[in-house]
Amino acid sequence: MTCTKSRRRSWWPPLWAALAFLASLAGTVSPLVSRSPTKQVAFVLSSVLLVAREQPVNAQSTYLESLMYQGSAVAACIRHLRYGGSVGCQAEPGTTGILYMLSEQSDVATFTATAPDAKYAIVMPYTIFNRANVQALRASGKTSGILLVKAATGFPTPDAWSPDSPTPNAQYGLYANQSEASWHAWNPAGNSLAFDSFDFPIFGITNGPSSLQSAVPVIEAAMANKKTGYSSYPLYAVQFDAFMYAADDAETCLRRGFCDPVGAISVWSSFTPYLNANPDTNKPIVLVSAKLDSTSFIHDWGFIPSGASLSPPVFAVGADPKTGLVAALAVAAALGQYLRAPNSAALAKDIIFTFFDAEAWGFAGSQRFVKDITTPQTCLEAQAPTSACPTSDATCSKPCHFDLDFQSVKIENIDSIVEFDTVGGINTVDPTMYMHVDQQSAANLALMDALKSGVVTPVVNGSVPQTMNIMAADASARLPPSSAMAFLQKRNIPAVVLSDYNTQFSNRFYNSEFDDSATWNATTVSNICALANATAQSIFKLASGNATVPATIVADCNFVQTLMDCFTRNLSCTFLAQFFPLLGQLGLSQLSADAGPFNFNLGVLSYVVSRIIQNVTSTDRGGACLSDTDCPTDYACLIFSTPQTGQCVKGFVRYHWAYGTGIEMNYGSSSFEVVDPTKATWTQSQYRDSSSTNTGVQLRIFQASSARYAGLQLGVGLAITLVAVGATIAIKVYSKRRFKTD
Amino acid sequence: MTATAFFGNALTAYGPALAVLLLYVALQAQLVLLLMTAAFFWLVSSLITSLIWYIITPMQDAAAHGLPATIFVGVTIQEGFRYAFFRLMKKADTGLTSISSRPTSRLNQPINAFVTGLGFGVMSGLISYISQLAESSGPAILPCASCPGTDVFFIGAITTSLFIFLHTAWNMIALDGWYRGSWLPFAFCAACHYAASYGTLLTPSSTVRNGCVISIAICAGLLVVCAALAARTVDARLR
Repeated sequence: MTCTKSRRRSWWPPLWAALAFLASLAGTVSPLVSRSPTKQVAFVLSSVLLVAREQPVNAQSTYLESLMYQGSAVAACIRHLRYGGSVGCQAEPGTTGILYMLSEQSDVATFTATAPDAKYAIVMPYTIFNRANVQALRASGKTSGILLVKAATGFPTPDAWSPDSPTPNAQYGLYANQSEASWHAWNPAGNSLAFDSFDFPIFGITNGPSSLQSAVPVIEAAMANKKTGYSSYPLYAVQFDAFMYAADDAETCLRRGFCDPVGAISVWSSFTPYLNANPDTNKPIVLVSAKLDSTSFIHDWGFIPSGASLSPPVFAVGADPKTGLVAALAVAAALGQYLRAPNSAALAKDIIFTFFDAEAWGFAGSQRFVKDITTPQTCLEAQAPTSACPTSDATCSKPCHFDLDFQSVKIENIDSIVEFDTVGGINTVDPTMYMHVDQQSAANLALMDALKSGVVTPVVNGSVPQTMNIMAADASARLPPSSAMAFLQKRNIPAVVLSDYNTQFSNRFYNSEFDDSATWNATTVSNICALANATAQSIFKLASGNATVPATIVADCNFVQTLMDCFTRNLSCTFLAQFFPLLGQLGLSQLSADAGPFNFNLGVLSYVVSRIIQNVTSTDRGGACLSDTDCPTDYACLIFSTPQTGQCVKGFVRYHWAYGTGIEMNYGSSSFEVVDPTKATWTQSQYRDSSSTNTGVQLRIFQASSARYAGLQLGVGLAITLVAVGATIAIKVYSKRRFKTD
Repeated sequence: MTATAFFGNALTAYGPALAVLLLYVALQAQLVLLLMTAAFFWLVSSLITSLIWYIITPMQDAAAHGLPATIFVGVTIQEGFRYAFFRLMKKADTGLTSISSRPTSRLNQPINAFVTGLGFGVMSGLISYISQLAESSGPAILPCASCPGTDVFFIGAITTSLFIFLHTAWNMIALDGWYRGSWLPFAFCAACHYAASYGTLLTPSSTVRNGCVISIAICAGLLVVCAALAARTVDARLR
């Protein structure tokens, strides 16, 4: 420091660095604009710090995060979009909240009045999760998110709770054109919360069968906070990760590619001789139908991604709708036993089984099936996969279909429809089954007459035998929400919906997380079995024209029991492992019946139902096999005695896409678009963080410090830095004065 | 709140060192070079420590005696490299003096020792704390077991800040001794280094109450003593 010139120059680099540092703190430095290398280095350094937080790439970060954050298995209320708007929830990135326990109604007022000023993640039971409370929590300005707890100690199950509307899917059904006031309220427990829009995250936790699916860590952390009065930091907090890309409405998000149609895959089938029939014949068809799906307020992700450390809990089990599905499968099995026999006579009418999926979303499965069978189609392009039809399973890629066999189902040939809704008698006093029809027409009355019956329910696992009457429901209510409506919209077909309720759903948990395995018992199985038995015999009479029913047409109550068990309690059961060996190895208990995003992939339920129906409707069996490829066309490799060897089974089973008919593929742009706002246009947002090992919905529990503590840290940092600056300058000044010669 | 904690920790850990760097070291190019060279030497010592840690697997068992063993090896190798660096500097002493801004100054050796010590300290501070600093920008804290109400990252920031200047002081004391041909000051520094490092084990302790306070008090007490001794080395040159 001898001359002033060099001294001034030597001041520049540190000055630049300091300026750049301060500027990068304020976030104003853009390396693109900046020409100064020092600035760029400062920017890069601060970016590196931020990146290190976002993506823990090094081992030390991973180790530290494992000490600081505990993951919890969750599912979330997610954003669904339709034509003209959106419903569901959204989580801004980095939403956190201190866990706050609300146990009963009075706690809501206590929270809004007395909780110290902070952002809270409310832990609450479903019993007090209603619109008024949500609004009160939101209005307090202290709520960052909600954690709904299902079935844990201290979190009671509501007496009745359904997030669906009181008139489910009425705007997509047979009476859509009639005034809203005339719609019959089938679902009195419906609170329509599923159709509200929330600008904050709502996650669901529950004690699943696996230790990885536990609500306990969250509950214990919230209880610990409660003990301190939410004032003694550090407090337990959570971070909600469920950022969803889609915004506005279905049209916008589909155009931007930020959402997928809500959908799944329907299954339809017939007995093997159908394969040999000429599709152009006018042979009448008896359609036996049931739905595959259910839904809930907290939406499941679906099948657990391999490699995920936490398996998300299953909220949409849909036990009650499964009773209808199992009844239809039992009918197919009973009829198959006769038709499989070498001396059986061919039926005068074809029997077709339809298992529609995504019915909770504006009857997507049945509406699409009916739309396709009533629209003449020719395959313009067979080569698959293509970008518009990204599945090698499709035999036609334009229009994209698994196959075009559905064209043989001519709507004018459909002679009658028998649909099973909930038929387990869950929550009903007596096992009466009701037949619902649209109009009291002669054809409908005749069909009801054919199905009418009075039987004694069989004894299953100690159930008490009761007299089951199958009788006409109250005429004024007309048809409940059902797949049959899609057919009736096109043509007046005799159609009966069988259910265990008369004018209101027996299911108090319609399309909710409480419609689970706990709802049914041996009596349910007995009811399903009795109805399936009576209906199988009635359908034989309808289809054959014979008044006498062969002795082999009888429903198997063990089959019913096994299916109910496998579908709602033990997905990895040995029965299903015969059809899907992998399932037996995974050790899964519950199966989500939520439709989820449509991605042309087969869901587990669609797949196992297709295999079961192939087995029970088959009339021809071949040799041993390892997979379907070892069998001839229309044979499937089933009945795995060991995980390796199965048997070729001939059958007629087809898949059909099930997503809203308001949405169609644009083969020009290879993307879905809204084509008909009056039909179902439900889409589901994509998540920011979803990957092969991450569902995109995550919850992390951690301990948080108070704002005052963080302020103290900053104060200490500033203070000692300033002291160091002062000391450095002082020493420089002092030494300059004292050591003039040095 | 989390950004506040991040900047608070960053300033606590690196603010004082940054102030000295910008206001003193950065003004003279040869000092910057010396600092970087010393930092590199510390880095190599850390690399060798980690290799030993990697090869001798019992050291990886933190639950048993892995941690004290790792500290022993780490401190020993750091001090070894301090000597190695001194030998290198001694070879270059004439050159360093000649390129100094004041070649005739009696303070060139203490200043070089100060700057290289700072280099040692800064690199050790960066390596041992930067991951924690990055994590402290997240919403969570890691509660300090020995001092309820505080968090590990803030205690770590204070410790880091102290260690940077402890290294500076030790370097001045040790190098001064070696220049005079005495190993006693170095032995004292090494002992201080062991004491300060083993003291940090009290911070995560769940049995010692106020362990973090004791740990910081050890470091701070040693810094006062060592800083005074370091100042004496400067003073001695001027007599």
